[in-house]
Amino acid sequence: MNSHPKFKEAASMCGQFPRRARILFQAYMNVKYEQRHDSVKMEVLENTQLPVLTSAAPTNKQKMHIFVPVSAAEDISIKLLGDILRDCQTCVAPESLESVHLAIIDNDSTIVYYKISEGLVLPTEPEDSPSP
Amino acid sequence: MAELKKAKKRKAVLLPEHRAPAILPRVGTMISKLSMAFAGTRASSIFQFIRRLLARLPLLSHLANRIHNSLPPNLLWPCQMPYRLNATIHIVRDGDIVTDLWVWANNQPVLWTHGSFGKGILSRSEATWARRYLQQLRPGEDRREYLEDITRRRREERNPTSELTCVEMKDLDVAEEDVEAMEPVQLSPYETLFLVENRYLVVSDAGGQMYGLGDLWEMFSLVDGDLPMLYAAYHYYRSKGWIVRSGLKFATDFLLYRKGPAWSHSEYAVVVRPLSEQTPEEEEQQHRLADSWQYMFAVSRVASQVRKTLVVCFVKCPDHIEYPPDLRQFQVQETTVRRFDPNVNRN
Repeated sequence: MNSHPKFKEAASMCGQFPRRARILFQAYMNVKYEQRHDSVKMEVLENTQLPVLTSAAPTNKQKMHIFVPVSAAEDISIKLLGDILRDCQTCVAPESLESVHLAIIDNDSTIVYYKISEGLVLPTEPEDSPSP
Repeated sequence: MAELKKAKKRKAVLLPEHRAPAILPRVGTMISKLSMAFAGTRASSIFQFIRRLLARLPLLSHLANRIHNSLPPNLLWPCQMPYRLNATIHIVRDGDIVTDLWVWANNQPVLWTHGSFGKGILSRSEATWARRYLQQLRPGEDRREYLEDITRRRREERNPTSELTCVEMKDLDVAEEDVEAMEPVQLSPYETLFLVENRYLVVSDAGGQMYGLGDLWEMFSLVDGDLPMLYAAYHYYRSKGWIVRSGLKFATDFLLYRKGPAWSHSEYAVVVRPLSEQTPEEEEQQHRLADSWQYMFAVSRVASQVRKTLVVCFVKCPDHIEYPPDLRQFQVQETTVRRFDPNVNRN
């Protein structure tokens, strides 16, 4: 991986997290060079100590997406998901967080994104709601 | 003349698999003429040797078939690779313990055209990022529409503003000499072991140290404990001629294609489950179809909504597995699961 022409952009973070170097680098390459998101950067979640990617939201440059690279073979608990979501709230300013995605990477570099959020999406009010 | 034709027909005829290709008699005749033209020289004896060798080709073909049929089952699959390829293994260690490893090969068309092996790290399947990048930089040179372009075009039709927010290809800051190296082809552990087992792939690390089949088995199994079971299923379907790819996108272990992703969508989604030796009471409890029917319904629904048939592949592994394992000690049993709605599927 050291010989890859773009590895130098992720070398520092990959060296800090060698066990997650492959999934971090592949997620970075996919988000920046295939999905072509703008302003792709690497950050570290404070409590869970997981390396993540941030990118500018397409509709509003002031807001950001967070991508959390995880391996398809990795066991993820509900507690970890909750900790990741809480860490993402503190990683960036709460009003600038657009969404949090899990970037699930298989052993053949297949990558699948899943958006996660805390709690249910509230139902919208029906247009013709009966008067109480 | 008719009697001459009958006499020719009464000659012993080789079976189809023992016949030499039709072009050989012409080659033999040409070599005979060359031998006569160079009569008295050393070249003449060389041409005569070649002619006698060609005459014995049907026998050699027959002997080759007998040897081929006597080989252990692992080597019977007719792998289509025309020559041996090289790949680089990347290993991450924590002290002496292997924590992660993966195999990258250069983007060689033969990997894709002869069995759909590997996946480009920047593409959906075949490694096409470099061609798409150059297509954007030099419009008009390559007019082919790639799979990723089709997906992007359909997304634009659904949401016209989606592509306006992407960074342009030309703004990605990639040096021209780095374009080809941007996208290596990653081989899954199953593909790597399959190609190495059939002697079509040589794996070495960046320092030039080569890794044999046993070393690869030991390292891959450290990272994935279910590797023997999953590889047995992979080898089983590959041996039957199916193209086997990752099924992560549809919550399954594998997808089966007749020819490959470039030709059609997959028809079957495979979930692999273990089948182990148990007491009759434990066996009744352990040989469950899935962890729960809710899970099986969910996977079945996903498969049916994308027009695939769900296959549950049970693999019985031996109690003691040596690396590399002898696949003849594994047993495979398949079950297809398809929802039946009496109101819809009555007929």
